[in-house]
Amino acid sequence: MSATQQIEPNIDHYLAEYARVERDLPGSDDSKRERSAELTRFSEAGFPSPREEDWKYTSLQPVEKRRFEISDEAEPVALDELRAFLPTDLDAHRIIVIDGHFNAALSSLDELPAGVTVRSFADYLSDNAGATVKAREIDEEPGSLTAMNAAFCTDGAYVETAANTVLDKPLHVISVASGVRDERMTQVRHRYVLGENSQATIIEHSVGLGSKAYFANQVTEAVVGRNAQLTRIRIQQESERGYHVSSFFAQQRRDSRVFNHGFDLGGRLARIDTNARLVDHNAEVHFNGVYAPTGRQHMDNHTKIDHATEHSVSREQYKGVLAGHARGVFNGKILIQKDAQKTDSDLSSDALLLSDNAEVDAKPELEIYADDVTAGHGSTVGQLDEDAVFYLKSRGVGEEGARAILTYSFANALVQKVGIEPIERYVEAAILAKLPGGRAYVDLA
Amino acid sequence: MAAHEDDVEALVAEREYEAGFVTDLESDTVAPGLNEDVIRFISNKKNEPDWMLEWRLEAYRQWQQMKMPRWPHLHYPPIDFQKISYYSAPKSAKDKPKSLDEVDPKLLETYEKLGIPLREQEMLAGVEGAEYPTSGSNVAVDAVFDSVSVATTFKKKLHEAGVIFCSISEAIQEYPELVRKHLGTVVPRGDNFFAGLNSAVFTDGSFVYIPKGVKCPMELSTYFRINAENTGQFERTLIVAEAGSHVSYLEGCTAPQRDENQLHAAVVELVAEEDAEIKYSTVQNWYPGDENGKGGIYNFVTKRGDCRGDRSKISWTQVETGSAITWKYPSCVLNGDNSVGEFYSVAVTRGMQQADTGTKMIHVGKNTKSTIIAKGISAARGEQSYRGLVKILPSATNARNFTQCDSLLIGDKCGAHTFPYVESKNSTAKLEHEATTSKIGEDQMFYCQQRGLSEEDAVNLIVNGFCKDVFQELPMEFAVEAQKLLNVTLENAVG
Repeated sequence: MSATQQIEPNIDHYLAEYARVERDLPGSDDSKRERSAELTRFSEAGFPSPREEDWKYTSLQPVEKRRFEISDEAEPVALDELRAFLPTDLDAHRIIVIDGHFNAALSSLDELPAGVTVRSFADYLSDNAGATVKAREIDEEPGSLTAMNAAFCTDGAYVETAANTVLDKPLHVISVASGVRDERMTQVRHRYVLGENSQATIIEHSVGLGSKAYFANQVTEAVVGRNAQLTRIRIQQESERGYHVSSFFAQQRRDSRVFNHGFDLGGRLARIDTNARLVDHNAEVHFNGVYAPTGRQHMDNHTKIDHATEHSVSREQYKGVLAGHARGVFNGKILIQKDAQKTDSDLSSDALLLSDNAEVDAKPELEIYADDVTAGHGSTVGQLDEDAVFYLKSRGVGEEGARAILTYSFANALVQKVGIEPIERYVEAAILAKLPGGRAYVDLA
Repeated sequence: MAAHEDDVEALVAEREYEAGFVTDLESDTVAPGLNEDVIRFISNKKNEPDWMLEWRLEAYRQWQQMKMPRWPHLHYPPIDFQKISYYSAPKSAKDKPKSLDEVDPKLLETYEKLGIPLREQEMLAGVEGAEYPTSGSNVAVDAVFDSVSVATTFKKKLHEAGVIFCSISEAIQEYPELVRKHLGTVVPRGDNFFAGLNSAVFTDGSFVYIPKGVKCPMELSTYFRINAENTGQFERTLIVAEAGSHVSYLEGCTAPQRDENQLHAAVVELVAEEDAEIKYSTVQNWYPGDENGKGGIYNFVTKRGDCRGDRSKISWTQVETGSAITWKYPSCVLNGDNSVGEFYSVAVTRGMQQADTGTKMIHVGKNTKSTIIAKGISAARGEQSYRGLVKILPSATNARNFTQCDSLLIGDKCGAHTFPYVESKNSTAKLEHEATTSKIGEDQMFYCQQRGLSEEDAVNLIVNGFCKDVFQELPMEFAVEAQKLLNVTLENAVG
């Protein structure tokens, strides 16, 4: 064995792929150097393996064995094809990214309030000489896949709100994988920078269309200023041949609030990392998530809330509904650092197994170094209460309907937390369309 | 024919080699280091049969392929396994302290607080010529751990019941079939790094065999066993409960023990056949090191029980207050249908102590149940982690688990962490997990002090209340001592 790092052939592929596309990647020469450093980081670390504690239950082998390529340009997709993914009655600004490229024609960004910038991330990189691919404020130790994204990212959404401004309507960001050509990858990157006392609501929607296998690797960075509020709703509806990996990093300043809602419905394999770092006093963070894998889907949610200073609050709730041969993974970590006195934190993870072949692996972690804190977590795994099923049947509801009502009401508690009705209705319909007996529920309602 | 002669010659040559070793047998200690010869030496010294030696050697070969686990939430300098002497005979009289005057006064202070009589103190501190008192006294400690003569009467009683209770070395000589049948079936040699090391070099430990249908007439404790104090740092315990039998086993002692060995790697295996029940209680209070973390025992223990038969039950109860490093996960494999696993734990870390402890409950059989109650108390600069796994295999229909782990933080430099793993592969399983972390409430303290309790007493009261769920699982005498021990341990931790 030589001392030099052995680079696997599939990593060679990505090195070659980078060389091929480097010229076309947006950004200054400085940012190219940044990208190339990230590429080295990725090539040295390689794809994460199940031998790593953070990837214990999720194998990326199906991603690793393929050779994904960047699409030089988007396949033509008409708005009609996306109709199904536009929630009825949702009044929103819209950004559409297809195969990793911003589509101005399909997007609608008119009438933005003064002081609010919403644009393509590629344009942001190209137009600002000093712009960096990675947000300077966020000093998270990147995983190899976030490094891969920093090297390859082609486009995404860039949102900046000046102090005391409000993004008047939600921003609906749809990232589409056309799935027309085999083994394509999208490397989409979003950045949100919220100034003091500003507010924004952003819906990140991942959508897969065609029948070909693809890899969607997405990163979102958010810097949330003093007393600012970010609501992020993530709806993941990749196609059944889609491999989805995404990471979210939020840095929260004093008195800021972040509400993150995740709904994982699609993809053959999905791995989502959601991280928030509360760097100043009195910040508040809420993570809510519903995952509903069916068939042979695999969904892995990892979260980390890092309480770095005093008086911060975190609330986290994840619910999984698993059917068929599905596998769900939840790992929620709450870190309370030694200066983070008076932290108030609570985490719960519940999973409902609807089939004997489904599997769930949950690990709510607490890592606490301060003594004057309140921290708790709860975790349950179970199935529907037969008494409740019986009760509903005795009231004249059919077996299938009874089970559907109970199953959906389990997830519904978190859907209702979104607070934007058209989105709630959209997510409800999307969950019901997947659930066994969902049809029966719709008929009842 | 010629080949045959060669074989004989080779055999003779080998014999000579072994004989060459015999001279070494005269010495009582082997030089530091670990290789196959050292293992042969240990095995030879103990006059073990060939299969035992082979078993040890195989374990050693497997161990060489293994790496020390780095995943625990523990920080300690790397251990050089070649610097440890793997066999040392009982200390000769001249090395022992001549009287209690030569013993660390801090240790004596602790004995005083625990109310341990003088004779017992001498014995625990390893004073020259000290033995168990021959006439029973009625102090709490003695009430259980009485004299040699009493122990002998107990032995007779056990013998009448058909219970075998002896050292594992003795068992290998006297009951080789039983040992061979069960040794390593619960914790295989290649199970983990420390279990592998223990399998290769274990020096002694306990063996318990409860025949079919027998309810062991008394609580068994290592302290009834004569010469129990020299079990060494690689202890191996095997308890086999045949169908319908019942046994309660106590390990350890509330009094802090003087021990020269820094590294401890014990293995405990429990086998419960149909309808059998094993209750295993531990109080561990080894030297934790000084305030700066100097010295102190490294305790790496593999404990596992196999509920082999239907309706069997294994219950682990532990009170862990000692050691600089504790790495310990008493586990249950619930193979039998309707079998039950329990884990009750109180762990205290203070000073620079670190503990990464918890349990594993592996549900295999139908209708299996497990309960986990873990209470962690962290004070000063102590670091404590609860690490647990509840695994439901597809065959474990209607499995049920309840887990509760609570942490109490005393002081702003300590840490408390929980890493509970839940893996469920069966939709009929019901699993619940709850964890809380908090400090002693100011309102609780205020209430107690307002009722006239001192600050110290108030803390003791609250801490004991916090641990009550676990203490009530301990045998009565042990529970009283454990409570006292906790109070002594946490003295001056507040304020």
